[in-house]
Amino acid sequence: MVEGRYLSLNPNKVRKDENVKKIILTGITILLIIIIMWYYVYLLGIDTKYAIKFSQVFGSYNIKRVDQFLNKETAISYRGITKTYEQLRNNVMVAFEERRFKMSEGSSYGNGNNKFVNGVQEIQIQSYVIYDDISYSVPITMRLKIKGINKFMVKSLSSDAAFFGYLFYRESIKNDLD
Amino acid sequence: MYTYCANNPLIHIDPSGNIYLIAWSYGTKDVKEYEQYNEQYLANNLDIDITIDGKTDDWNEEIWDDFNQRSSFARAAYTRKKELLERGIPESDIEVQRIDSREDLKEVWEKWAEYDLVEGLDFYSHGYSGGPEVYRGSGNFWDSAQKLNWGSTLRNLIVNGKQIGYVNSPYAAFYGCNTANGEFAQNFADKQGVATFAQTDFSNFSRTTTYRSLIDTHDTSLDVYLLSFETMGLINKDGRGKIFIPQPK
Repeated sequence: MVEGRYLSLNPNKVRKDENVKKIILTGITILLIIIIMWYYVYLLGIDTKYAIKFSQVFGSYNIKRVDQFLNKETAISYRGITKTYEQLRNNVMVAFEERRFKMSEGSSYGNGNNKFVNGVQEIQIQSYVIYDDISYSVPITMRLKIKGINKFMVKSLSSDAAFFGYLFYRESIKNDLD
Repeated sequence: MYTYCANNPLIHIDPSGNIYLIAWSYGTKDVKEYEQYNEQYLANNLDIDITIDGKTDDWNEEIWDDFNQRSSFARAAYTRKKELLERGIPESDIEVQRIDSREDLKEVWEKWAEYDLVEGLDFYSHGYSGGPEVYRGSGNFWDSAQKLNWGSTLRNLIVNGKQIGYVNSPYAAFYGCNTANGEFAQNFADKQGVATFAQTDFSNFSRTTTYRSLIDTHDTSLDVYLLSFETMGLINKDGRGKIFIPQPK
């Protein structure tokens, strides 16, 4: 009896249903491939994005933007000394108030190797700053940690450049910022 | 018969003796990446122990020779030299110079200022809206750069008695990121009296000039270009960059 029921099905309808299933499956597969590819490209560009963001954030003189860019526990290292951003936040605010430096948009850029080793990617940033009307190079190493699928936090920033010391540690700047 | 230019005066250039200057510099980031990349190679083949710190103080001649071939900035500079040679410029009229510091830039520029006729300057380096940056920063060099003796004044391009544009020879071209986005390029054009090209976006190394095609970093092959690719970071729309024409005072 059961066989009879199946035999009574319209073969054209069965074929149509199968085609619809195939189309849906193909659509889902294509969508998945697109999402994976988009995510891959997104991850490839994240190092550059953060490198560029450095000058946008610090050039804005807006401490709130720095708060969003860094975390309280972000390690800031300068010539062998390491403190957290939370400990150094006030120094950054003083540097913003003094406004002796200018960091224009597009004056920082760089890249990593697109690999997150233990969830961390090291990014070499090349940035330039004008301090008292003279431009200097400020090379910075950023360690970016991936949290989950698309959340990132700046784990550490380090540099030996004198401007970096001025910005975070209130180091006095002499004739040569290098 | 234009024998000196293979009977094709439109493509080739009369070897007039005017000099073409090509300069290249690099950033601390590039030095560090090179040190990292070559750690093994340098240790095994060059018998030298270098610290990976982005500083060149401990480099010897062998390392410099290697860097001169592998730096993407150098490869772009020598690609330009190759282009000029292909255009019929004698090798003796082309000078390629590596710039290692702002002091070096000052010295080299002073030497260039003594040349009788400079027909072109191509400057491969990092940069931003404030101007091109050499290793460890250019300081305030560009505010006071001596005027070079450019080969000729900017020529008006006149067709049927009407000035329709400019012939951009001689020229200065800066390939560093965002060099067109501040006052630098126009100031340079005005002070030097030379048509100046600069980049309107972040610059990237590419195998081709029209669309961005990735290069092999730390390789030694030529055909490497440094340009900004304005459309989605992929397509270059303005050739050697945005042009800045000297403005009348």
